[in-house]
Amino acid sequence: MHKNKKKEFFLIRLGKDLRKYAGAYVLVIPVVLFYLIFCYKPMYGVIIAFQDFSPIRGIAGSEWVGLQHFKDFFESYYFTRILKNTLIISLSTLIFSFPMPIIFALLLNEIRNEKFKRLVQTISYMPHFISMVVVCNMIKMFTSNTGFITSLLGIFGVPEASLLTKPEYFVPIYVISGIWQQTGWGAIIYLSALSGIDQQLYEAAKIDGANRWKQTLHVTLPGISQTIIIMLLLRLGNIMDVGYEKVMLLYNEGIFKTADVISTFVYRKGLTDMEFSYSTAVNLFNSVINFIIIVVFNKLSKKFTETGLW
Amino acid sequence: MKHKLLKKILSSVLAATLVFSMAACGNDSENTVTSSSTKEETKAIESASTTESSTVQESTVAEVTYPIEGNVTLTIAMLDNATVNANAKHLFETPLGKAWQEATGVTIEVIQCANNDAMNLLIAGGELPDLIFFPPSKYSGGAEKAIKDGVIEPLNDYIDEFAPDLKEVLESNEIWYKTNVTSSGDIIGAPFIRGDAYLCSGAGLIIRQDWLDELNMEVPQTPDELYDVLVAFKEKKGATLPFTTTNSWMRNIVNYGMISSAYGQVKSDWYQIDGEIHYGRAEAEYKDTLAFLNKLYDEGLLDPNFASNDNNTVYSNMANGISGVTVGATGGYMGTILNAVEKDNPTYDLTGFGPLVAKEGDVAYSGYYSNALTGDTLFMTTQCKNKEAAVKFMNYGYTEEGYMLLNFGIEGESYTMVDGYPTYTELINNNPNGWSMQQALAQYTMSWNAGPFVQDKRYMEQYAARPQQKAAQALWAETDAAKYMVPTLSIAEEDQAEYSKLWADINTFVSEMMIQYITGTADLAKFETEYLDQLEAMGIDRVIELRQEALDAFNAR
Repeated sequence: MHKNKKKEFFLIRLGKDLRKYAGAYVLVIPVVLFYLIFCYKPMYGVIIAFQDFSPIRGIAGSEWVGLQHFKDFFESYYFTRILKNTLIISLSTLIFSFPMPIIFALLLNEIRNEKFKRLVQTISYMPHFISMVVVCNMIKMFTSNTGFITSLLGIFGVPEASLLTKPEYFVPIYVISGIWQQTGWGAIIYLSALSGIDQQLYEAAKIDGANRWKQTLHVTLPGISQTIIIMLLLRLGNIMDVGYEKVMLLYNEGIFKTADVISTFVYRKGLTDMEFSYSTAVNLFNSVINFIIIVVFNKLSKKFTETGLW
Repeated sequence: MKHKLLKKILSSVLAATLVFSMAACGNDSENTVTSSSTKEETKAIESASTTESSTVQESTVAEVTYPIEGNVTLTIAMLDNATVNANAKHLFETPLGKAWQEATGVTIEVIQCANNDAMNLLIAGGELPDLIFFPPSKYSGGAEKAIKDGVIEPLNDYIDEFAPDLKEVLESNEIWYKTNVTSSGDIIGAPFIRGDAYLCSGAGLIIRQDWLDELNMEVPQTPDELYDVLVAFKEKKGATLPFTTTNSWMRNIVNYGMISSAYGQVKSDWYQIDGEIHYGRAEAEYKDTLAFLNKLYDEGLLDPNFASNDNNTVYSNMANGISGVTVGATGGYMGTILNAVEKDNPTYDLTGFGPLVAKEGDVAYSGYYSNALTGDTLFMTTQCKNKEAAVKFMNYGYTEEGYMLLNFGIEGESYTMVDGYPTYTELINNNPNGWSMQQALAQYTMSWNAGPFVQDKRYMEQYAARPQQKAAQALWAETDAAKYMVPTLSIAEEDQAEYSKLWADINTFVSEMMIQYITGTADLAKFETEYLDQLEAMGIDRVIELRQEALDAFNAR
């Protein structure tokens, strides 16, 4: 009943609101236009996933093939492999690198020397600003048969051969270098959340006899839990997205077995083999799964933690 | 199709013999599904028109005069080339490009594409330039599809009138002609043609001759000998990675059969024996080549980084004594390495060897070999605004004047005639700006790379001028490669979707399995069950069948 009433009066309320906050609405116009023009308008292009698209003939002139490309993809020899690789890389990133910025922020928070804290923070941001191409070349050099990481591992009995030619090392290299790249940068949002915690709570905890560890557990973590959950939800929405840039720069045919993911597959199909329709179909499938995941997890999160994205 | 043929007979009085036989050929393949009586009919029409048109052709031979009048401007899309770009913005800013524009009277505007993907994107964008210099085979589905998609405008209606020299060149060699038309008879464009078999080989295995001399060893001819040499290099010469290469050259070793002859296989790629097509990577003998490479890898004789190496790493490995054996081209590889070490290490010496054979003195089935038509083609797009001028421009490289310009550059500047032999000047051989010979050639000629003309053997004779290079060039040409080579095939349009779907997966699979078997990530003991059976499950038999049909159609053209 309440909902119906809301709907009934939506337009009237909007009208009232428009008059009241006209300035704010004017300000929001560019943003709305941005999304309409750059995010919603291009979406009609997904039609080509159901066509045998040829750029010369255009969307209007291309032949309609329905779900053929989806069928081809599901039947493809590589379907399970790239799906599996994507999930493995994505989940290991989630498990190993998602908590890192949180831990890092908590540790930084405990540092009392402001100067030292800033120094550490600044240094830890830096990798984020190094171009991906440079980072990947560094990784390649360090993991070649004479690279220092290879030599270091050699001490522990790992055979000294180029690590990037061994399928079993790709995921660890990807994840660990990712942690190095993003931990400092990722910690910023948690640090700002930390600074928003009421200091009185700590004082109260101290009076109750809580030590540092207990304070962290019962004051700090609950204080930033909303931020963590929102970040986690955003991450889950991208669970099927492993960016192609880094993977492409690191992999070679010898390790496709563990390194080839959906986005690189789409890249090769779409831009190298020019199978636009097929690659669009693959990516559309990917986006649909992502969409489902984020909706489901948002529902769950709202139910259990009362925090959600919308 | 029949309608099209009739239309052609009616409309083109000047049409040449070949245009007709081609169109009829397209008919043949179509007719296999229709009744045989119509086939007889078309055959009759064909033979009638053939005789008719050839008599017409005799009397009117078109000639194109240069420069083309009317201040024409054409846009041409081509790939960036690092060697050209080292000293000029693009090809048409080089002395060669300027002379070419002047001679043809055409002003060229260049659209540079960084790589194949960029070119494909440009084509995909739908707004096409007048001309494109790019291998149509790199377009998904090949030339056939590019014509069907409305990218390439076939030359059939223009060649007689505006490109008589191109036509004459193509007609002078059956294979050249066949390679440059699609199965439905469309003339694709102006192809790069290697004018001599000598130019088709030109890459192979390379070894440190001075080390061999010091160790008192012979140039290896069999896999066992190569193995012994590599061990000696490692133990006695301190070569930590005795055999270095890159992923793409490793593929060439396998694809062109630089090792496989020793194990009784022509090569581990597509090859033909008397018109019957084979796919080496789906044959049991392929295992032996892999086993040999795997042995080298396991014992630390093969560079373990080969899958991620680039050419420069290989050059420096070779030049610094880290490695003693590699694989590459006479010019780019041998030349580059020798240039690099010449000053500091005068005793340094390289020799080309291989392809490996089972026992000394055998002739290898195959070695590095590229088809006379490499696939690089200058083609006209359907959106070309001045087709007449464009085709005339395409024709220029095949005229006598254009032939000399594109092969040797400007007479008196980059070459002089010495006893009728076009000899590169000091400007090329010993450039005053300190450019390498390749860089100098890139400013004055197209013969060092590819272009719309026929490449002259005399370019290579001077480019690979060192005795080692000449010897290697001669040695590598001594195989039966040409006999087994499969020409560039185009898959019939109706089978294309099926073919590319099957082939895309298989191609990825064999490429990665090659590396995995060499590096031992995959177990060779399970070669039959995990690899050959898998290939079968992926439909390799059907792919071979389709290629066979394409080859039959090619031979019947």
